[in-house]
Amino acid sequence: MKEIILNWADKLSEVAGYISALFMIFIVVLINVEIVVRSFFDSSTYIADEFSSYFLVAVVMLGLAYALKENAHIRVEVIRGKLPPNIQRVVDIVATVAGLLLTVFITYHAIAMVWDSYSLEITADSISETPLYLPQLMLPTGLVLFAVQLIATLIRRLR
Amino acid sequence: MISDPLTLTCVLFIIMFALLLSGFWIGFSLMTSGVCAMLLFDLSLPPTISIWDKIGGLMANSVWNSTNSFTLTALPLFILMGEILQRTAISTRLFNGLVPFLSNIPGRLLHVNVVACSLFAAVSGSSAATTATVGQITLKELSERGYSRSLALGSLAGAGTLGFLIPPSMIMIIYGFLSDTSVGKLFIGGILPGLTLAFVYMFYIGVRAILDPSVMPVSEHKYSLADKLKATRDLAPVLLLIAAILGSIYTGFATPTEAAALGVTGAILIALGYKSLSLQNFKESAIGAVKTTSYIMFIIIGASFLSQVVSFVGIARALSEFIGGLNLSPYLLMVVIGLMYLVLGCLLDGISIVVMTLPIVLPIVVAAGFDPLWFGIFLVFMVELSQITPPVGFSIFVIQGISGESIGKIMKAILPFFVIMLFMVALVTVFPGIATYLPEMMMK
Repeated sequence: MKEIILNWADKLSEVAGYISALFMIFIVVLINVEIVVRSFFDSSTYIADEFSSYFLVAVVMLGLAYALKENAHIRVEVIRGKLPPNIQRVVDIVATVAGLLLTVFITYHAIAMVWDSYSLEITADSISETPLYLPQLMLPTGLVLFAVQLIATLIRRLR
Repeated sequence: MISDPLTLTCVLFIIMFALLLSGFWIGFSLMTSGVCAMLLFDLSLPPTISIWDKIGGLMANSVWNSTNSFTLTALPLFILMGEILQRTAISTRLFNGLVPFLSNIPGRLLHVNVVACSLFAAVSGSSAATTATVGQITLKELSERGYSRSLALGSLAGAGTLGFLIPPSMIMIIYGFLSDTSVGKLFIGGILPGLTLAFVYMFYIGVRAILDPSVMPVSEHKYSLADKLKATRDLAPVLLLIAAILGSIYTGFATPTEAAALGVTGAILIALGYKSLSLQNFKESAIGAVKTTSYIMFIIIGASFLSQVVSFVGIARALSEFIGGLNLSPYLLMVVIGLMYLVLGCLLDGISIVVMTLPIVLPIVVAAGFDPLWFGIFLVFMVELSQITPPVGFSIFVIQGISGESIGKIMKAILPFFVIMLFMVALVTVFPGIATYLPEMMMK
C-alpha cells in the first residue's frame, strides 16, 4: 500500500516537473518572438513580459514538488549532519511535519486568494486584461502537489 | 508578546538561526521565522481580522508576487543557458583555446583558471557551476603538466567565485528583485570589479611564478600564430555569446530577462554547431534547470514573506533609526556589516545570507547614505567570500569533489586568494566608482 502511494507521488512530481520544463521553454520562445517582432517589425507582442511572468509562476509551482523528490531543496547541514542518526531522524521527521503543516496553511490561503480574484473579477493591469485567477490557479495546484510529495517524504522518513 | 522592534529583531535572528541550523529547508525556515515574528509582536489589528488570516494573506501574496515577476524570469533562463553550455564540452574547448595565448606570460598555464573562469562566469550566473565546469578539466591538466597543485587549487577557488560577480549573476538577480534595484545596472556594475579582481589574481600568480619558478614546469612548447588562430575557433562562440548578452543589456536593447532568452537561443545554436545537442541532453538540461530554479525560488518566496513581515511590524525602520542614533562613520558601519557577513558566510550559503539579511540590512545601509547599486556589488563580494570559507563553503565542496584533496590542503591553497578578495572589497568600498562608473554611463 505504502509503495503504491510513494510510486504515485513520485510519478506525479515527475510529470509536474516535465510540464514545468515545458513552461520554461514557452518563456524562451515567447521572449525570443518578442525580440524578433520588436527588432524587425518595429512592433510588439504586448504580452511577452506579462505572460512570461505567468509562465514563471507555473515553472516554479510545478517544479517545487519535483525538486523535493530529487532532494534539491537545500538545507544547512553543518550541525544536522553531525547529529547521531536517531536524533537526525527525529529532527527530519519534525521538519517534514512542520513543512507539511505550513504548506497546507498556505494552500488554504492561496485558494482564498484565487477565490477573491475570481469573485471580484480582478484582471491584470495590462492590455490583455487577463483575469488573474487563471494564472493564480497555479498556486494551489503546485502547493497541493508539493504537499503530496511532502507526505511521501514523511512516509519515507518514518520507515 | 514583544513590543520593542529591536528586541524582536534579536529574537527573530535567534529563531531563524535555530531553524536553519536544525536542517529545516531554508525556504520553510524563513517562512516560520516570519510567522513567529508576527505572533510575537504586539500588533494592533482590528478585532475583525484574525492574526492567522493576516499571516496567511501575506504568505499567499508573497508566493504570488515573487513568482509572478519578469525580473526573476531571468533566473531559469540563465540557468538553462548554463545547463546547455555545460553539455557542449565547453570546459575542454576553453582550456584548449586558452593554452596558446597564455604560454608567453609569466606563470603561463597557471592563469588558465582565472581566465577560463572569467569567460565562463560571463555566460553563467553561478559560482558553483563556474568552479565545477572549469575545474573538471584544468585541475587534471595542470597536474599532469607539472604545475603547482596549490596554486591551481587556490586560483580555481578564487576565480570560480567570479561566477557571481561577472554578469549574468543569480545573486544580482535576486538582490535586484528584493531591493528593487535595476538588475541590468547591477550586471554592468559587476564587470569592472570582476575584471579588476581577475587582474589582481593574475598579477599575484605572475609574481609567484617569477619569484619561485618551481611552481611550473621548465619549458613548454612554443605556439605559433597559426596555433593561436586555430585556438580562436574554440573561443569565438563563447566570446560572441558574451558580447551579445552584455552588449544588449548595456546598450539598452534588451532587459536582462530578454538577454537571458537570447542567451538560451545562442547556447542552443552553439551546441548545435558543435553537434553536441541531442533531444535527450536538451531534456536533461531543461529538467535540471527546473530543479535549480525551483529550489532557489522557494528560498526567494520565504525571503519575500519574511521581508513583508519585517516591514509590516516596523523592524526595518526601528533598526535604521537605532543604527543612525549610534553615529557610526559610514566606513565603520561597512566594516561591522562586512564582519557580520564573514561570520554568517562561514555557516550559511550565499543565497541564504543575502535573502535573510537583506530586509534588515538594506534600510540601514541606504539610511547611512550608500548607493543600493553599490551595496549590491559589495554583497556579491560577501557572498563570494562565503563560498570559500569553511566549514560551509560551496566552492570548497565542489573543489573537494573534483580534486579529492583534503579540506585542509584546499583551505591553505585558497588563503592568498581570500586575502586578495578582502583587499578588493576594501578597494571597492573606498573607490565606489569601480562599481558605479559603468552603470552610470549606460543609456536610460
